Amino acid sequence: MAAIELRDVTKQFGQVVAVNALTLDVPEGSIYGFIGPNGSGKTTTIRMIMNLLVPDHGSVRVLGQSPGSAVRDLVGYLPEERGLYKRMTARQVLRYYGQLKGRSTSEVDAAVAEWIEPLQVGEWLDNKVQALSKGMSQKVQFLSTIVVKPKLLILDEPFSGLDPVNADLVRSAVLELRRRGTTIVFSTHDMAAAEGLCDRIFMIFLGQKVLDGSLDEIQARYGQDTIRVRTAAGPAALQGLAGIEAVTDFGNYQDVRFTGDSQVILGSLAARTAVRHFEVTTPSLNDIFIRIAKPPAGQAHAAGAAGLAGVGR
Amino acid sequence: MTRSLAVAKAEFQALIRTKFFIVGILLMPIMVGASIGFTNYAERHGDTERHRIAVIDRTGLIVAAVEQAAVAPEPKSTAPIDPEATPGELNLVTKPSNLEIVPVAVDGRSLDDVTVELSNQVKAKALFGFIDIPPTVLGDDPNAAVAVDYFTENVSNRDVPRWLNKVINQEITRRRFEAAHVDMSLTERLSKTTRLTTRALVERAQDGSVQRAREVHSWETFAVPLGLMYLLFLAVMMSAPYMLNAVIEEKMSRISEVLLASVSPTQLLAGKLLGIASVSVLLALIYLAGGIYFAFSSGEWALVQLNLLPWFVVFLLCAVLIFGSVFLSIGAACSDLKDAQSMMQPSMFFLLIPIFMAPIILSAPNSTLSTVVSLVPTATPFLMLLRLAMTPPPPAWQVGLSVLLTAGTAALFVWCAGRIFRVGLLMQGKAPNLPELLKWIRA
Repeated sequence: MAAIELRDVTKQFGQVVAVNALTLDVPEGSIYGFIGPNGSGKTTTIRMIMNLLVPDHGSVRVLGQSPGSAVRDLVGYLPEERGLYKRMTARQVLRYYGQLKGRSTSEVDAAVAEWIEPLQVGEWLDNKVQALSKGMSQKVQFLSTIVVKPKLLILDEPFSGLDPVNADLVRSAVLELRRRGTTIVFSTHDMAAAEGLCDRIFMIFLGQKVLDGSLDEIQARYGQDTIRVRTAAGPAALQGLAGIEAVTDFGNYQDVRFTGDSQVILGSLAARTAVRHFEVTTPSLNDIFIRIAKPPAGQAHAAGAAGLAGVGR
Repeated sequence: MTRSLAVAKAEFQALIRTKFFIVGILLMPIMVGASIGFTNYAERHGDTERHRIAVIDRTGLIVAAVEQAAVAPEPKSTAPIDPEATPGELNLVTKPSNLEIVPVAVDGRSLDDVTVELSNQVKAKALFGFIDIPPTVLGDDPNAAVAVDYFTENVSNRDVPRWLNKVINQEITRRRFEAAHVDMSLTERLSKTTRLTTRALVERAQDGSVQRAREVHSWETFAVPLGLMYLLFLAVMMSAPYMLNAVIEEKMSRISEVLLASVSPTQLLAGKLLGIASVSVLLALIYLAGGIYFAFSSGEWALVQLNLLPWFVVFLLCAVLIFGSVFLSIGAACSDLKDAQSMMQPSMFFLLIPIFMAPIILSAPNSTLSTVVSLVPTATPFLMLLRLAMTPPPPAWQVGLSVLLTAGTAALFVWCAGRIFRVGLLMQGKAPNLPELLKWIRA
């Protein structure tokens, strides 16, 4: 059974179509990445799954039921913009949010005790939220979504504002929850995190689904059209080379989209500079994202999603 | 329901822990008492200025009495004080402090020269003021327009002219009686007024006896109604606007989205309204307990009218639901305090209407105007309670109708607030205008 089923879902705000005829299945027990540029319809989709917004058209089913009060208690939701009561202590917030999900104080306390060590929040629980650092507030908010032991967890940018150590703690917690059978929807702009964590990835752009599948499936559709290269001269050495369509400069190395024979390009490059690394590979998720979402020079996306079929291949 | 109770409990605890509430509860009676005490003290002791008054007595007969009165201690009144009478009716005049009377002789100069010179002395602060007693002041011609003139720069001071007026008139009257060979003390005894006592109606008991009806003081007839009405107003004002701020804060910090992921907008609204109602009831109970204790300890048992308590609770809940819904809706619709404040103004106007109407109802509780305004649902909780606490109480049909109308209005307001809550809590940016709000409600 799919944890989330969207069928032909459309949501419009005035003249703006935020989500257009979206169909999606999120398998139970998976980590499903939602990606897409700002304003593409991610939050609207999540809000419809959470029953915070009602679709104008189509149907939404969550854990096999129509979204509503019964399902709400089984879903943990971490919105993109965090909301904690500043004048409460972290423990009071956790208990209150737990009560709103129908959990008793003792149930919440027991669940909190279980996560104190993995998330390293113990010494801060009795501090007021306003005294917590941004990262600690973030962890408390994350904790508030998981202490209710949800079957479905929706995380909107769970790593934003976290240092690498705390991000790693949260990442481990997410993997542990998946191990326990929790379905996790993970909305992010962090492509590396999406590549690393997600079983499947869904990309929405201008309100329409443009990618949906496992990372391998998505990358396979683009083929091996990318060269990862590191040279002594840096990106300047790539200028004007025949067969190069686009260069993404990461500083220490460059990803190059090419057509034609990669060996010819290697030869031309070696003639210009010392080549330290040359690897023909599939495009990264970041590269695929940019190919879809970045308008070609001189063009905007005002034309809408009409031409997206080709973009997504 | 348990979710709403959880919201209500959290809101209740949050509100009663605010400095605003604690300070309001504890300090308001202290502040009111202190301000009354300070006003009384200031009236008696605040004016420490030297009051040097020059008197041009062109009769030559009065100034001595004024001088004597200025240095003599204030005589204590031996007449029984009518508790019904106002200070004005009792002719209570306090002698100003630091009073000095300076007789001024004209000595062949023109009156104009003397008054100009004295005016200059007032300007130079050598004098507080001066009076001119004309020579005709002792005449007894009722048609003669004779006045004593008082000149000063300090026209706002009322004590000095009142005292001068009293002392001069007493001396003029005494001299007129003396000239007419009439015994003034006899006249005072014979013209002594009697007192009109207001009492409740007389009823025959079951054993056939008739009890003497209880005396009703005029302050008693308005103290309880007004007190209850203001308490209701205070209870609403101390909780509902706070909730508006709390909802805006939740919106601004995106807590609303977390809450709505756990409870429905209706549950959230119900919880918040329950929280407001609990705080209002607690506040009212604290003040009512204080009022009852005060009434018992001062022997004013008649002030305690427990039969009004159920009505107070009913109307308090109606007012909380009506105005709580309005304030919560404003909070849900706005994304910042500036927008909310401008949207609050019409609501505050409706909340204040009963306060403006109260004097009209106190003077004629069963007039057509009083009946009509007390049936306007937003004013009913305050004004019908006011009328219920007065004598005679309104007819039962009016009370029944008012409860029906107000309860219906409260239900309608709560329903509308639920609709606004559902849409508004997730909206950011510009506050909606009235047509947009109506659209949200109809959606």
